[in-house]
Amino acid sequence: MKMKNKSTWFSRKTLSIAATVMACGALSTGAMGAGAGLSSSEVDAPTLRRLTAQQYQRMIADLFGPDVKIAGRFEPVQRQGGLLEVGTSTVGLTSSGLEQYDAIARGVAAEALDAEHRNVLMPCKPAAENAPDQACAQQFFNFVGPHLYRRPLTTEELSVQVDLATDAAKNLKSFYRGLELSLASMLVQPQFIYRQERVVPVKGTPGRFELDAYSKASRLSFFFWDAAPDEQLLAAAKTGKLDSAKGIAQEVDRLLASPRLEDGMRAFFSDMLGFSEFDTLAKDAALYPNYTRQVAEDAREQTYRTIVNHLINEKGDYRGLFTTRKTFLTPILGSMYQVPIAHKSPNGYPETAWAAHEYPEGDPRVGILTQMSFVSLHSHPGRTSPTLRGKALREMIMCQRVPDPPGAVEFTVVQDTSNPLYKTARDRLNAHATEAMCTGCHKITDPMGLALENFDSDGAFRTTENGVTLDTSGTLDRASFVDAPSLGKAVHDNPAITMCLVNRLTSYSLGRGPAKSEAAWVKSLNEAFATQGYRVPDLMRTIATSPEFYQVSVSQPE
Amino acid sequence: MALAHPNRYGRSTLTRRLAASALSAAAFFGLAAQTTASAETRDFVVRWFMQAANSYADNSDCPEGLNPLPEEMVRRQLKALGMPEGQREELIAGINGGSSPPEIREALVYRGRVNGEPVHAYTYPTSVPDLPELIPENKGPLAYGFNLDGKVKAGDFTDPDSMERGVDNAFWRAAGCLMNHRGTRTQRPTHGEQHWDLQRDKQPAWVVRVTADDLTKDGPVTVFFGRAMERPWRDANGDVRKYSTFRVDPDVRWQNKLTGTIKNGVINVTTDQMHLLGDPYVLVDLDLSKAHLRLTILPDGNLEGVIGGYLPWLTVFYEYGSSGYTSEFMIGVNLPAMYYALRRNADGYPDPKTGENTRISTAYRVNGAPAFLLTKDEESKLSSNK
Repeated sequence: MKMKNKSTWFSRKTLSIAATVMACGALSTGAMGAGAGLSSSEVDAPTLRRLTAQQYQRMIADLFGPDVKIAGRFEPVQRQGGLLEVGTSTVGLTSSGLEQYDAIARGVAAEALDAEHRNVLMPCKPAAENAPDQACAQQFFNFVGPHLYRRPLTTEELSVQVDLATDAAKNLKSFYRGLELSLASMLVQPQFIYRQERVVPVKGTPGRFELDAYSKASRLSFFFWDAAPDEQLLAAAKTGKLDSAKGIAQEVDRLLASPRLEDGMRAFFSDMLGFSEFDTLAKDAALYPNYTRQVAEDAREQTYRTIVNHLINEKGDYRGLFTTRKTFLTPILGSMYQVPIAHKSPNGYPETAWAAHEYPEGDPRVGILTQMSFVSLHSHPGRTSPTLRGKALREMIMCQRVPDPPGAVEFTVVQDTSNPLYKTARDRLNAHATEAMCTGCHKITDPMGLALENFDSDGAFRTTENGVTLDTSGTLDRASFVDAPSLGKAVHDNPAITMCLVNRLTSYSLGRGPAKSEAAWVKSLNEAFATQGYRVPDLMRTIATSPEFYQVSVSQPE
Repeated sequence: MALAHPNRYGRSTLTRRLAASALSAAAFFGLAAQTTASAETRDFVVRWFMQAANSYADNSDCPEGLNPLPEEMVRRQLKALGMPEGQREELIAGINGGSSPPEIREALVYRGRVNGEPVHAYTYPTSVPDLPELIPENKGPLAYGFNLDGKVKAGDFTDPDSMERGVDNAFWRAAGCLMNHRGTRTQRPTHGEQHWDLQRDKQPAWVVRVTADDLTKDGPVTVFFGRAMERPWRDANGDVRKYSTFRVDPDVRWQNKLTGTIKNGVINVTTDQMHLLGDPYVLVDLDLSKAHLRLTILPDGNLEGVIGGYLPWLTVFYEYGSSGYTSEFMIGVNLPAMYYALRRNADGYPDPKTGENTRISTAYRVNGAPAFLLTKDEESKLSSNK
């Protein structure tokens, strides 16, 4: 009971500090121009981005070990400009959300400093384990601090953490418990939870600003690896290497050459393709018994692997993602695609072993649009949806906005798959589109979605619906197609998809949509992308080595 | 040419996909000389394999009734042990759902007597006097199975599907009035739902491959029954997942390479002996003598049929006996009575010394889901194709 009281005292104290610093952080950002009524996409301002759940997990794993558990869920982020990453720059934190961060932080700190982990993590040993040791605590925070805040701690920040550790160790008669509670308090500070970008004047150009070296390092590492800067990048920031174009180019090459580029690529495409929706995806088991949670997870992973293999391993053209026949399958996915995939291990475990697979010429599966991830994610639990699939293609792949349906629409005819008058989705949508208010939007979504009707809501192949052979022909911006493979070709040839990729990747890297003042830069990126044969890593290099990537506008304090 | 389940993919696409599997199918069966290049192959994973039930809705096939409910079975058993009524009812009053007073458990488990000393009733069932009234026999004229001995005798059944007379299914005679065995072709008995559910998760899958020149026409057919290296995966409803891939266990002891005929879409096969290794807790070894198979590939791509033959009756008993008191108390099957019933009804393969029959005729219902089977050769070929 005594212990509980002390913990409560500590909880109040650390949360109070966190709230105070967070308010200061918001104010300072506001002073820099990103707050107070201005949408971040309207100016090329620095951003204050909340770590995504994946970034949080990756930072904890990198610093404390991959076995340290993250027990809890973070508050959701609203998608903006087609990306959650952009949403992270405008999302706040509720008091209950902060409590959740606090609970997670306590769990992480306890595990990171338990007997098993502390021997690896600690840079020193305390003089006594049942008493404070300021020198050792200081060494500890000097080590973990720059990794958590992505910059060196200020003298004041270091002092706060050491004092907290000392006070707590005295009260709890345990050096490690004191350190643990102080570490937990760091994990709820805005300096950790938010990626704060700081600016400095551009040398020799009065009135212009750019990110400081540590902010540059963060932007680079989160862009390429979806992770905090490593030792080498922090060192590059410290030594001034990131102040020169040459130094930046060297670090960019290093980041691109690392296997961790795959993490960054996965994070970006997960965001762009809306894969967070898999967390709540479900199918009607009576209609689609083969679609299980494991299938959904493997379907998502299949697309990640296809993308990584095509873009990184094979250095492929981005447009080829829509026409590639190469993919990867697990035995359980093989059962969905009706492809024999042999288990590798002696008794068939683990179930998730992956095998490379190439669809033969003439196969209806071509490109990522025909993979289960896309067709099952953009379907209803009990039926397909050409409209949702077409909308996803327009919005996610082509960056075109499809208006939401008006409020007073009658959907019954579309939803009733048993109506003998309208046996296929095309029949039902044609009947529905006789309503004038619906026709316009359905014209821009449905043709592409109908081309994917050979793939049921669970992604399984079919040639008929209710006994009627499916008509999968249509047009996309005047390019005709007859089936999913030729739709893939039409998408491949559509210039909107590469422009969309440039827009999304730029927005993802900046945490905001490109500003009007950056139009010329974006145009040059599009040109470079084409010149480079639409190689995504090359585009990333071009973005990250552009001065525009680091330059910001800053409103002057009055 | 391989053709697998054209209901999902077009024939041409799957034909290409399975070319590797089909190419070595002939070698797999050791039938290279007989199998033409246009042979058609279908692979299946067994999704259901349990004694075939054919209960009448009005229970008229059980004129002596069904086995008593567990509480009543316990009452009668305790009475048979000579326990005074007052004590007996006091103990029975303590039964609460799935739990029973320890005194009941103790009394039933050690109710065997050898030289007056208590012994374990399930290990030594003959140490307990028979109570045949607890396992009423099935008297119905219809039961699934085959005429295994070629004779039409009193007590034989008629198969409700094939209408074959002289069907030998002494197991159904012995156990067909147990409540947990009651069922039909479409309504699965509780016993099977429970045991097969356990079995298929614990044991490597049982798999089937059917090959013929044209499975839609009358003619010769080969049927392979074997084991896989993997257990079957489940779908969202708990059933076996369709179109899964299984590597065939190369152990020849569990490879049954059979030949038969197709007539009017029905595959008929007979063989002297059939072996499938099962699960030690449920069915250790499906050791069928004079095995008969009657299988049909359904329009939806699934496999359905009946497999009959003679099983060692003691093996059948241990399917129940291994769960001991749980079987008795939860489902009301008096195990020593079951032992005597199976022994009494055993109808084949007499022991040369004692003359007592060692096997009992039976029939199993089998259902298969479409799957992909890979022999070692096929697996290698598939890998090299990639």
